[in-house]
Amino acid sequence: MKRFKIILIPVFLLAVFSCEKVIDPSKVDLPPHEEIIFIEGEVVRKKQNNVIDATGPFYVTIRKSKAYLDHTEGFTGVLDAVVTLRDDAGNSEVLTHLNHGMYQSGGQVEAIENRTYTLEVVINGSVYSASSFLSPMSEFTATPYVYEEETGFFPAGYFFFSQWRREADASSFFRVRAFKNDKIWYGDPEVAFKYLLVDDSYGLSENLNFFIPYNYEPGDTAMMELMSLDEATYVYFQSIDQQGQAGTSPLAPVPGNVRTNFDGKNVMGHFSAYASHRIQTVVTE
Amino acid sequence: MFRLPVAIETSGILHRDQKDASQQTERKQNPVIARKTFPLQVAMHLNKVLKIRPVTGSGPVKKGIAIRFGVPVLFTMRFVRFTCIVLAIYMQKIKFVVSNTNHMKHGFLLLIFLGGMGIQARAQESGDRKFDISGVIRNGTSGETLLYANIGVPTLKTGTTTNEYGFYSLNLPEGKHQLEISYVGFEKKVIPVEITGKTRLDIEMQPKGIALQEVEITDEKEDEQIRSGQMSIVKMESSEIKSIPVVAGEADVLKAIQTQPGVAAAVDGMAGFFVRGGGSDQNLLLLDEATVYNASHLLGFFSVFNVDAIKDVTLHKGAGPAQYGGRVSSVLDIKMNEGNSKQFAGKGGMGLLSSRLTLESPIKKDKGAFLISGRRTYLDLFLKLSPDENVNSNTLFFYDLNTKAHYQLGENDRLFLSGYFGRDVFTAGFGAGFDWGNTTGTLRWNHIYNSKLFSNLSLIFSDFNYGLEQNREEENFRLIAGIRDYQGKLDYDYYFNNNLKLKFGAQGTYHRFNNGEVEITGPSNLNNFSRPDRRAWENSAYIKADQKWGRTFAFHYGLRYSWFHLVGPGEVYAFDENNLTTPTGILNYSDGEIIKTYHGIEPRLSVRYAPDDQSALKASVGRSRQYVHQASNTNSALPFDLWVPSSNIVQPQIADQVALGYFRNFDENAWESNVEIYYKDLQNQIDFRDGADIILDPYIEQEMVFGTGKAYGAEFSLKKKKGKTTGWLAYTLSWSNRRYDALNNGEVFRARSDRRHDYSMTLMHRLNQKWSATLNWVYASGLATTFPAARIVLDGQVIEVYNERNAQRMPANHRLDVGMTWHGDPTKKWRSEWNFSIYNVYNRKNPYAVDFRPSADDPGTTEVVLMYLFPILPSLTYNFNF
Repeated sequence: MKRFKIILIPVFLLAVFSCEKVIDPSKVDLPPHEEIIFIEGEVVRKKQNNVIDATGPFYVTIRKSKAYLDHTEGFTGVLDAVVTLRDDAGNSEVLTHLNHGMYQSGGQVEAIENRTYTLEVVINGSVYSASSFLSPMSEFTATPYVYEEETGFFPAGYFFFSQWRREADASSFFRVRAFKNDKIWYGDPEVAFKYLLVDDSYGLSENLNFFIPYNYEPGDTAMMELMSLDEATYVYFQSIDQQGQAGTSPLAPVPGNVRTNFDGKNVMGHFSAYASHRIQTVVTE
Repeated sequence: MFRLPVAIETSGILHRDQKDASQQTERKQNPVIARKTFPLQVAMHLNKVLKIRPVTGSGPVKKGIAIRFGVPVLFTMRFVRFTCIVLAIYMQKIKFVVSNTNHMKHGFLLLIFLGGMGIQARAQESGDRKFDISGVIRNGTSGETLLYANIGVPTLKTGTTTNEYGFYSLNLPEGKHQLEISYVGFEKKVIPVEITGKTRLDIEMQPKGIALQEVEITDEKEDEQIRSGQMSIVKMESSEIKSIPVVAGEADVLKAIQTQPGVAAAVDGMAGFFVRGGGSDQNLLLLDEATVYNASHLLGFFSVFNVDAIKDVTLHKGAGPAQYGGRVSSVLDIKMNEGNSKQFAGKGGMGLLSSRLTLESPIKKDKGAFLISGRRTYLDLFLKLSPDENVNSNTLFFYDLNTKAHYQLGENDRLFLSGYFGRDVFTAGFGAGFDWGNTTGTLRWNHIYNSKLFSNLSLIFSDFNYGLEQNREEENFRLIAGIRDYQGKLDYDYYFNNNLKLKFGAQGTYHRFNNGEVEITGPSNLNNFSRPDRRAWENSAYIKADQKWGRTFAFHYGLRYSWFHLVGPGEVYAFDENNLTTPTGILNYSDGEIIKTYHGIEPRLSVRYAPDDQSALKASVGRSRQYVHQASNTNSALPFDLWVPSSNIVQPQIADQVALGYFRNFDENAWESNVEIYYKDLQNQIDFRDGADIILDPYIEQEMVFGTGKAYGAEFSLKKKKGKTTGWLAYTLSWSNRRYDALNNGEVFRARSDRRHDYSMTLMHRLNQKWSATLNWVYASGLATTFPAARIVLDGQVIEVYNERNAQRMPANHRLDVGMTWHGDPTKKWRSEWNFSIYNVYNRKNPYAVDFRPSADDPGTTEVVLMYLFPILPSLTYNFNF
């Protein structure tokens, strides 16, 4: 596992020693809000129950930021963008706007391994573009689960393991994601280990077996997903994870913006192409 | 001949060199010997021309005129030249980034200046026959050497100080003199001596009564700040440090230092500190000359320095004198006690968090002694008392062990061996844990060649490492990383005369950087692996002079030259100069092969002008280079942050600092005041890209960014050193900025160490023989930090958007601490005291963090949470000594 979560141990220690007090937000001098565009898009090659889905549809959302303490619901979508998806095999299509800044592909561009995809977004003459490489798919060999008693960090419950083999021609960057009853699941209570990221920069064994620290109950439908990523997407998830740990505490990483692969000013977000293998299980006692 | 008057009682140990007087006579008569001492003859001649002989007629007169006007003019030109360099740097017209050729040129000028001044000083003194009196000054009750003690002859208005090993040398005219020795905290001593030849005089001084010591600030001589040519310096003794109330009664060197002007706490209540806007990794921490790479216990709540084992603490705010190097912000030089060579003694204490015990004893009376001092916390015992298994299954403690031994091999040789061993251990019940610690060792040999030349040879070992382990069913491994140094160091002190002392020497350090080794201890997804080690040589040579020019001027000037070689074996990633994000290849180097070399000059200059005995103006300029860097992307450095060497990508950090100061004493030196202003220019500063995750990153250079910095400010200090009430007030007004092309859109931003206002007031009051009280109040502007400006959602997570780095501040810190100490009977063999203190009396919630999170009542909104460490905290400590 790339991240040993070393930072969590000092955080735990500080939690032991520190006290808290909720203060009036007006006592904190927040910086002024300067509106930015944020874009999220992905091209996914999925495999579940031995069925491969490469045609999507693929979605892109384009929205505008709001002030940090603005608690109005939702974000304002960008409705008039021209969104074009291309691959390096010469295929391309303009995505259709659905609603609230969400755009959908029409199946002309397919998710094929070892292809590079480019997303181009034009808003009022400003062009934002990003590219991503779709890595070959790695697949789970098994996702067993066991019952564990309560520990200092985790409640009692059923916990899964994600097991797969490293292949020589496969991606070096992985994310394991868990779902519970068709919704993404980070455990109860949500633990800090939201991003289960694995990379090849350590001497990984051939057969991998990682503990997934999210509890399940009997009867839950659990789905584990193995995402084979390119490096930029891996770094993007890593930077979201890092921001989750960052803060003003002396022991926390310095707060900073999440990495983006979009060119252009006042834009954030990410466009990724990845392969996804999923296994679904109903938890029994 | 030297005679000790019978009627005078002294504990001084006297030696006599009968040969010397006859040798002096012989030199005058023997032309061969006379030629060898030609510079001295010239100097004596010059003295007569300049000082005594009336300038009339021809022949010698012209020579006299030439010398009379030429030397001062030359000096003036040189002084102006140096002043111009200083001003030019200050005005940013030129920087020290000029070529090494120019550095050498300036270096030569400095040496010429040194030589010229030396000759003149010599000439001023050589009217009569003079002889050296030298020796070592010691504490009469413990046998420990006294550092920087004052020794002189008031009637001659001449004197000197002992060096950091207690040695002194004074050049006095033949005849009878009253030698006066003083060291604050000790009874002043007057020893009548008759100088007839070269003399060895070792002196022992008796401490003042315990009651009196408690109300004196004993860190330096009475008028040290006026007489010394140095500036930007802070000295503290362990008794002073112990008197400041602190968290849980744990006296702490680093927290005491934070009460001084120019020094800011990285976080209120913790031991990390910033000096003049520098980063915490830019402070060089030396314990008996060995580098301490991580001075924190419990992640910074306490420092590793056990006050019971400490003799002297000196902080140089900036480069310091030329013998120091390797960090760009400050040097904190801590000397350990040597051990009592007179009798068996001990001291210790019990507090809420830890207990301490120090034992010291002669190995052979007046010849040698050893000291052993230990400290251990009992937090883990408290954890065990918890009924909650999630708490009682954890382990959390730290310990320190300081040891030292010394032995006098002969009159002129002394050996010292000292060591420090400390470790923090934390294991969590769920199968994870970590530990870290320092080990240092110093073997030192002091040798007195003659009355003028003293040397110190040190062999030093320093190791810092941390371990992290996990022992769960599916994952079992241990990770170890750290840095280890082997150092050799040779220093000479040469007492040219009473007005000129030279110090010169060289150092060589072999660094070995362990960037991480993972050992698999059971089932695991990992294989054993390690990051490539890095090895490097860091060498330097220096010469410096401490010079007085009459009673008005004093100069400290020196040159240091340092070299750094990153050497093989190893693989180094090659990067394109314009693209540090993707390595272009891997370069292989064999064992000892030089991968990259950096070197450069580090000039240091400090000047004092004292128009009278009560005031002084001082100015200083200095450059320092830092070749090893702590790779940290957290707000404060953690033990897990690797130290990395300069490399083909990472260049040495460089700091140039100028400072000006005015110093004024009042009421017969009972009060000291000063103001200093400084300006610091920083090059090759290191930071990390937003979102960088650098733990065990094989391409750490990819995540680094390099930039520049500036820090400037003013420091004000008022200190009362005598009387029933003593203490100090300190105020610092400062700015510290950084700029990196790759951060904050290339705009200048505040450094984390930027602290606009920092006040500190420490008062100690002796109520009576039994009771004393202390009070400490601090106020500091809030830490520069970054709050979010906007929010977006990515990958289903609320993501914060930041505009400008460190543009906001957390609320200001301030608190009041008080303490009362009951002192037992000082005449008893077993002396004890009880200290009761209250930290943060008015329960100020000083923030260490401000957190934004979904409200517990309404998860759709965000609440602002202030996190603070120490509320009002009473503590009780029992101390004893025997």
